[in-house]
Amino acid sequence: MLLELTAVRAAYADDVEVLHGIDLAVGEGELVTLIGANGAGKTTTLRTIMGLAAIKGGAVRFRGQDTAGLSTPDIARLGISLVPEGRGVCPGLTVFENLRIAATPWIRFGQSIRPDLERVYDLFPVLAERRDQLGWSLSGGQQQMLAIGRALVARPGLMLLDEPSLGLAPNLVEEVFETLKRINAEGVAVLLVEQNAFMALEVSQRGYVIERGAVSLESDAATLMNDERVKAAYLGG
Amino acid sequence: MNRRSLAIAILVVLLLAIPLVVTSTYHMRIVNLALVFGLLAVSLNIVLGYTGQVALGHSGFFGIGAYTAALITEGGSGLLFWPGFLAAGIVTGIAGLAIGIPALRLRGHYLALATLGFGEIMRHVFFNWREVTRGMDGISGIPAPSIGIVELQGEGSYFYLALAILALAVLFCWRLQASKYGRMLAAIRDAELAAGTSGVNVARLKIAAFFISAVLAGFSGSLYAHLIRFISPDAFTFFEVTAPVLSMVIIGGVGTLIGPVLGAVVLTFLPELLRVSDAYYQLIYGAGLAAMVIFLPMGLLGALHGRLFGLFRPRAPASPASAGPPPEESAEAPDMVRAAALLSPKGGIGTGAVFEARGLTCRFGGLVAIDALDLQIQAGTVHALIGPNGSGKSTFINLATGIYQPTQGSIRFLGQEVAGARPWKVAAAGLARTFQNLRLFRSMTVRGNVLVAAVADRPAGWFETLLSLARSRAEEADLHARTEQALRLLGLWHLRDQLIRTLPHEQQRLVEIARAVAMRPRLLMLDEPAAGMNPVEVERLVTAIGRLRELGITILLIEHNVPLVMRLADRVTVLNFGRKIAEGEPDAVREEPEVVTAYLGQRLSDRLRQNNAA
Repeated sequence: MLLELTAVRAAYADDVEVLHGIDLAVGEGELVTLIGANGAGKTTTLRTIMGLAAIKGGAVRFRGQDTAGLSTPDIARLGISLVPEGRGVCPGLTVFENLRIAATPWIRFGQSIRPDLERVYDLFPVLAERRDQLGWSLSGGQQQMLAIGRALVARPGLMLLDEPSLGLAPNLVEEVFETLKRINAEGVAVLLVEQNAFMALEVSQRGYVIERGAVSLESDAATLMNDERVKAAYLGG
Repeated sequence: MNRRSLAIAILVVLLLAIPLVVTSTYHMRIVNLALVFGLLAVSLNIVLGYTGQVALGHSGFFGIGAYTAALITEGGSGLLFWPGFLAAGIVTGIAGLAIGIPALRLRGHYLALATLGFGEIMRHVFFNWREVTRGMDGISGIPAPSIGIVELQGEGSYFYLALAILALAVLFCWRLQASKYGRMLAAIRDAELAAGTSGVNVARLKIAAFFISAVLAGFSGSLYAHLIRFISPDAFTFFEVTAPVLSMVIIGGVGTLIGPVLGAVVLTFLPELLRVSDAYYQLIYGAGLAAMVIFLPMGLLGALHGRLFGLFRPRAPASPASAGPPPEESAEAPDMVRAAALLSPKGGIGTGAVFEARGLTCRFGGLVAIDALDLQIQAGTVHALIGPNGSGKSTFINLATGIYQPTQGSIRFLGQEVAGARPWKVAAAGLARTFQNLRLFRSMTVRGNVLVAAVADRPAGWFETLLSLARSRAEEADLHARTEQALRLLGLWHLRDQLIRTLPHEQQRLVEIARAVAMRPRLLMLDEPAAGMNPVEVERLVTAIGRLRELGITILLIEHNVPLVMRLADRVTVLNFGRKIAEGEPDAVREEPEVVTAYLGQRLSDRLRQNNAA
């Protein structure tokens, strides 16, 4: 397994435990979706993997390596990148500079960033047109593309996405999911947190349902989409 | 008598006994200095802690108060203390107004720099305006204060005067914090934009905070002059006054009631305790300050919280139940009759077009965000505004609610022109809104957030509120009743005492709506209320919006959840690049080819058609 969480418990700074024992795994090249209500612990799961929330028990392993004690930059260097909820685009940097900072883990070894940029500009031509525009001046959709592009420049083996469709127009939501499929087809494993569970499961191979900080259901995507309980609770009938 | 009042009684007795116990005049002088600086710290805390404005000019206020008192009483009888004291408050208060006005435009570092400049200017005035201030010679011959025929000659008798004045100031702050004005100041501190659109007159309250703060600083300046009995410009510099007082407030506890006093006592005595090591005392003092800020981030008061018999615990629970899981929601539906009685739009539902924008244009530099837009909203309808990201939907709400000024065009709300009006004027006219990226008052509970915006039928004034007269108490009861209904309406009543930051996203969105509803608006603009909600949560939102309609609130809905829009909206307007590209009934609009290409996408469009057929 590429990523493996075993009985992970995690809490935020105020010591309120949010995850009460999460077991989940993502294989090489897989696209996996986490669904669940607001406050169930989906975002916290992603943050815990990234080392942004304190692990209180259990273990997170990436390519077999335990991430306990590693800082967030170290975890990013292992090959995990996060596209955070709200995009986290640096408002005062240009599109190019936003992409460039993600190359930090490897660029000092003298490798060229050009192929990475070309890959991003190929996926999102609009970013190429706006490469010198400042982050804040982009529309919500362009910012989401930039955030995904930036995660790609980090050359991840696993990409974590938190609500990539949030606040996007329907035609853009469609575009984002198409892009995720493409990125996944190129060999990057994806762990996706999404309220738009229907569209997320459609592009996924497997899915987990998280309730109150623990996994309550795990299955392949097609089964989840036909599960009566999942339908009622997360797919809107 | 409970433990708390017993502890307070013991504290009072101990305080009153200080002059009997401390026999050294020198030490008594330091006690008195701590009281004077305590008052100044309380004054700074009103601006810095309650209102969240970083002001660094208090040495100026302190000096104006001291010089005013000194010039009036110089060489005269101690009885002149009282007119001098009052004059110090008045003159400094006027200076506070003068500083409060630029503070309306400046924020953060800029305000800090401007006030710092004010302090510097005042120092030069004290130094160079020799005809009045005697420059470096200073003013001597300031009498000791007298009460009637009793002259408060010694440090011990002065102590009781200063203690009484400080106690009154703290009492005043206690009333201020507990009142609606205290809530409004905290709202400005937490989220200024949202405070304005919730009807808080941000300009007036900021000026009021600067005025009150300056008056108290003037009083402390007067006390200082009569304690030292000699003043000169070098006593009123940034390093002598502002920096230590800022440290007192921060170390004591920013925004707390008596934290600043505690900070003043500690910081005034710390140098005395460190005198043992003359050579290193400055070094130890500095390191001590740094250590306190690092290890007691909540201030001394935060560290004492819950200890010492709860003496320092705020009376209102600060974070009740915030650690545990939120209590379960009761299934009972809100009582719509009661809700209608307390929350129906102020001024009735109305008929015809409640809102009309004409030729509305807004440019940011070269970018045209809204381009000659005409839009009418009919009373009692749900009018949806949809369009691609960046098409100008949020800009439109910002223009309508007074956050942006239109470049051209008019906005008429209930027949009144509101284009360019201040946000609180628009709010008072009956136009409420929510924010796409949540702007809640984060230091407050759910109930506190809604209380800020609630509108009573008979509002009380400053005087009635600060003295807690009958009218003010009636207003509070009224506000609480309306707040309760707004929370019940949105299904949030069980969460009323939760702190905002402990709530998940969905519930924070509902708190924003409850806050808007408490304003009893005629028109409510919702900016992407369903963003980040799953289908179950969306259903709860649909129920809530249905209840708002039942109350008679007209709604403008911005939303990317198109199936939701199709269900709720009576009429839909589609924007693209700031221009209207379609408008009409939902079913007709979604078939327009331009809407499909610019916004819906083929897939969703097909799915909507299927749903409709089914």
